[in-house]
Amino acid sequence: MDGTRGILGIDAGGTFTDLAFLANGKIVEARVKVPTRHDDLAATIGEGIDLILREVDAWRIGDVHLASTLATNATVENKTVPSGLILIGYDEEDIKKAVDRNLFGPAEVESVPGGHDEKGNEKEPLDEAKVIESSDALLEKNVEGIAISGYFSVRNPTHEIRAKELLKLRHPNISITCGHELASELDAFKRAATAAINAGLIPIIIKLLEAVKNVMHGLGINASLSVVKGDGSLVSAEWAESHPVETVVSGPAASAMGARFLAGVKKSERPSWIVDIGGTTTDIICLDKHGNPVLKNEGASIGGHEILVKTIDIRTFGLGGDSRIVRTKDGSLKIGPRRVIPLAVAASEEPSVVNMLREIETSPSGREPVIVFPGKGKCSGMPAEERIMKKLAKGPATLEYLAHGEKIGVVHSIGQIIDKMDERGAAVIAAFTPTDALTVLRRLDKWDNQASSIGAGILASSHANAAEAEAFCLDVCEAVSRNIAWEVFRKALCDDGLISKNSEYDSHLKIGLRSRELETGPGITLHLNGNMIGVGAPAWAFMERAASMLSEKAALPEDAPVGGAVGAAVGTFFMRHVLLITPLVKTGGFRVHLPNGIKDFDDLEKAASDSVNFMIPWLKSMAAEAGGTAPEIEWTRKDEVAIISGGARSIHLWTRIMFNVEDGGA
Amino acid sequence: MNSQELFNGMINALIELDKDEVLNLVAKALADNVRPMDILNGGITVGLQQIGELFSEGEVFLPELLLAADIAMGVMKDLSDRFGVGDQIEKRGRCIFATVEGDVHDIGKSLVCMIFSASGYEVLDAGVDVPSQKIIDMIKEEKPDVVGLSSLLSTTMQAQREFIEAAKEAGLRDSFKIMVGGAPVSREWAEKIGADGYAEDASSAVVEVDKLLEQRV
Ligand code: B12
Repeated sequence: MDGTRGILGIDAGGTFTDLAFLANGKIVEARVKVPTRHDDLAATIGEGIDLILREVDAWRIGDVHLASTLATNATVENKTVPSGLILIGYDEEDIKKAVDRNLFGPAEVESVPGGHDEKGNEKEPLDEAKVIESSDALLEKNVEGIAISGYFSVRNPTHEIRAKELLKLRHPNISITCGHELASELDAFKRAATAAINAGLIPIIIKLLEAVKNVMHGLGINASLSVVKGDGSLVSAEWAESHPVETVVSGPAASAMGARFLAGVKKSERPSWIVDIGGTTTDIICLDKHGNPVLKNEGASIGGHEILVKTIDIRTFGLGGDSRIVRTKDGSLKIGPRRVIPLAVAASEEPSVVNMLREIETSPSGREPVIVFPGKGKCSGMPAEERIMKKLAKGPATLEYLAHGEKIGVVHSIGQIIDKMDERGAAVIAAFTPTDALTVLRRLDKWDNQASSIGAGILASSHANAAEAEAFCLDVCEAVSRNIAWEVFRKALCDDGLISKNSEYDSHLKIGLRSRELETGPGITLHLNGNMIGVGAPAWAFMERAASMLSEKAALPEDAPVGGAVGAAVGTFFMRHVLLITPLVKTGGFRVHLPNGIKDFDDLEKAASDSVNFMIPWLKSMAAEAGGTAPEIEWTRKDEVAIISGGARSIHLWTRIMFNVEDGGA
Repeated sequence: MNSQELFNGMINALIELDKDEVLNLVAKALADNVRPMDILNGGITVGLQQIGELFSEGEVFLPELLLAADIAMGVMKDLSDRFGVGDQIEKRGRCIFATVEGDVHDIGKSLVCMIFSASGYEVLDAGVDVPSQKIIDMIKEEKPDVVGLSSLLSTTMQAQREFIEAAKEAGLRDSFKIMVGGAPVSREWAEKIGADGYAEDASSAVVEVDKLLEQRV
């Protein structure tokens, strides 16, 4: 058989599991999509591999890279196994409050004296006897793993490290997670929660990865297994088994990297902006010029659990192909954030929709092309709602029909009542959407365009002719593209630190985007300076225009539907580490916050050079553990200073040394 | 004498450490309807600044600095009653002010406290030389809207940065706004250490806090 060995990428997502086999200069040779079975991810993966093997010989699969929603789902659904949490040096009152607020989920909590302060000085010596005692107490409660979190352990981890040593001797068979190994940010409670969730995920991920290895073995695949993390990097299965919490949101990271690869962005000096337009929402992800996701340090909120690990920074907003379009009181168009059934789709399933739309068109009060369908949700108990539900039981209806015979109050608020019912699933709304605009314009011909055309006419003006309705649909497409362009541009400004997330400059920016078309001012041209890549079903319709508004071209890669699997396949090992050096005012010296404790120096230069000398071998051994075969380390140093005393002097805040570990072998 | 002449007199009297003359001129100014705030800003504060300069040049020594500070504190106490408003029914917000650990400069912080309470804020004065942990404990107890930290020494400014770190570690950072101030402190410093606001003097501090609290709602 011919062919070379290659990589099988797998993205086990919420709805579908995608697989892609890449070989020969990373050409996609086979792709498969199978529905995800949540109760048995390994079996789903097996099914997928089986299909791949119809096109690819088993021996050709040299590596398997896996991105999965397992950690995310288990966290969201509170399906982590019981873990124990040992808190070192936390205030007892604070612990009580945190437990009351369910901050640590199902973890059993023990408190031990010790901990450090903001400088990294010991607050109180670690009570080693209490560490042992606490762990015994936890094991009696049948926990399957133990997490340790020390106060200010990111400034001085020695108590966590010592406690871990003690526990390893005492309970050699139990998994032990330390807070400082997962998070580098301050917030003792989020770090503790992160460590506890990690401990609770370990048995689950081990089970999955072992099952996948068995599946591979059973299918005759002799390959190494790696896992995609939430920051988009690739690590060995062994590393993932002890750091499972780091794999949350690995799916979107893989999809973004896959999209960039499929769009053919080679070595680039520019970042890439991946815009994933769905039915309900659009996600924006930025990849740096090396193709690695831009990360955020603040962590992620996963099903109400605050997790303090570095994850890919996704901006999600409520705009998609099925977003509801309404005319606001001032006459402008509002697109989203609610998702509805496009009129075209509704009409294809229920032909009476067209006639009902005609009724709205000719009715004197007809302003909105909305058809209400019965839902499966429960009634709120409000009498008017009960009557509405009774009417709906006979079939879809217009708002006017539903309001007929009601008191004036209900007639006036019928729209809001139906919106509330829609939120609860007691009713389902069909309304005009970007999908309808595309249908009217015949850019999309999946459905008959009659219903969409009537809808466009109603929204355009009371007596719109066909040309006016079409012009209206062009406006809608333009507005969708502009919203996307604006969100990308705004995120770019946020990421550069030029505006804050809830900045008030929004309206100025929006005007800036339209400056050329309005021809009222100097004709400002905005230029993004990044590759724009569109994925998702309606991307073809809006991305080109959105990109041109930012003076860029859009790439719309083929194979994007299996982008997650491709991204997993092309993923590589990398690691980032930031070392902090703080000034010691009392002695005039400097303190290095190393991963194994603190070290003080008289001189900043010596502090910096000694710590680099310490960090390089440390990072190399860490990289080897995590699956980096030939790690190459680059570092940059930044001394943060500020001008003070009215410009007379400057003051040193801290020095950061940023280490970037890449896999030279890949 | 116009008010500027009165201020110049106060400045000179303060440098001469002539307490009686300072009090005499302050009384005159009040009789002339000069606003207490202007007396503090135009006379007393400027005088202290000049003494500070003389001190750094070695012209004046620590005991004299202390004496001048005592006189200034005395004037402030006398004037504090004249700011009025204090007992507004609905407070605009609750503030804790403290001079950071290792720093005993009291005057600036006390002036800030006075102006805030005169502007309708509820003020808790935590004193001088206050360790971060003590402020953190106070925050848990008092649940303030604003915490203001004063540092007059470039060496104690680091304590402002460390306090913000301590608040983050305690999971409290987002529950209040942090203002920093003191003669050496700058806006650049405030931004880099992650404070929410900075002000050069007490009156602009009120404006800045008003703005911060407005944003929050
Ligand atoms: C009075 C004084 C003292 C008095 C303080 C007495 C007391 N009860 O407060 C005494 C004698 C104790 C003292 C001691 C020392 N001092 Co002294 N002192 C001064 C002096 C002369 C005046 C300070 C003052 O009260 N100004 C008037 C007030 C109203 O102004 P302010 O404090 O700046 O406050 C305003 C603003 O800054 C702002 N603000 C202040 N806090 C805050 C907080 C917030 C949240 C906000 C928003 C705004 C804000 O609003 C205030 C009102 O408008 C200054 C000189 C100067 N130019 O500042 C030196 C000065 C601050 N001291 C200095 C020094 C060196 C010392 C000593 C180290 C001397 C020594 N060798 O022992 C000790 C340190 C003691 C210690 N550990 O803190 C230096 C500091 C140099 C530096 N940048 O590091 C200065 C600048 C003198 C100099 N030029 O050398 N000092």
